[in-house]
Amino acid sequence: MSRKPLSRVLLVEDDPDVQVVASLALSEIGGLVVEVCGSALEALKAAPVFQPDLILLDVMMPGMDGIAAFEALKKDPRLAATPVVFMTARAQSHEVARYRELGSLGVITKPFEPESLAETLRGLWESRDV
Amino acid sequence: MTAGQRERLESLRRAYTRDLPARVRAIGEAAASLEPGDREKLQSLHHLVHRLTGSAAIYGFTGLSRAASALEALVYSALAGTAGFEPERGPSLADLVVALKSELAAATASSKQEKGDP
Repeated sequence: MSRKPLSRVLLVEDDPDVQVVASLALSEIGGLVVEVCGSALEALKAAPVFQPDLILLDVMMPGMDGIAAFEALKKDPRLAATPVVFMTARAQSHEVARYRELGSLGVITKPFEPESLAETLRGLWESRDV
Repeated sequence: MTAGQRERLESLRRAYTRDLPARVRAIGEAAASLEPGDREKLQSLHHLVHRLTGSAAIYGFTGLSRAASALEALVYSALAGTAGFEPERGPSLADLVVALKSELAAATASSKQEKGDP
């Protein structure tokens, strides 16, 4: 039985400079449907409406950070099963291990390659235990 | 990646490059305006530097990103209360701001060379 392909991604990133490149990488280059949120609070409101297959979540954001956002998403029954991939510039091994222990699907480190960002997400999506 | 997508990325990079001096200037001003115990200003500086660390690397300015990352680490330590701005070992806040400005000059010169500007 073939799995549903990755189609809809909610990108949560506060930096407009990163937003615009990641959005281009995922949608124009990667062929995904992307909604961009500039903060965790915005994402918590948008996610149940947009119904993403996967959430790409920046770790370090002002206000509610990525970890707090992840915990809030997992408490929402509408979103608890939605895989989350963290995006971070702080990619020390103990931090990556912590993000995985929290239950994320994976971690993407910045800087990412715009050419391959969507493929990296697809690879993580395909690696899920379903 | 198509030629059009490559051009879109290049266009974003050009716009980012144009804005770089203002970003580094804002960081220099934020660092210069720090006052002892003013956590809000420190957080604001950290936010500016953190953004530059991440975005500069994505746009291909690795030297600038590294310089920003060193500054970010010191500001982060100051926020966490584990270091001051003039640590016993390693560069001070002022040194790191100077290094950042130096990397900006190198990045700007390199971009002009790529474009063939005199």
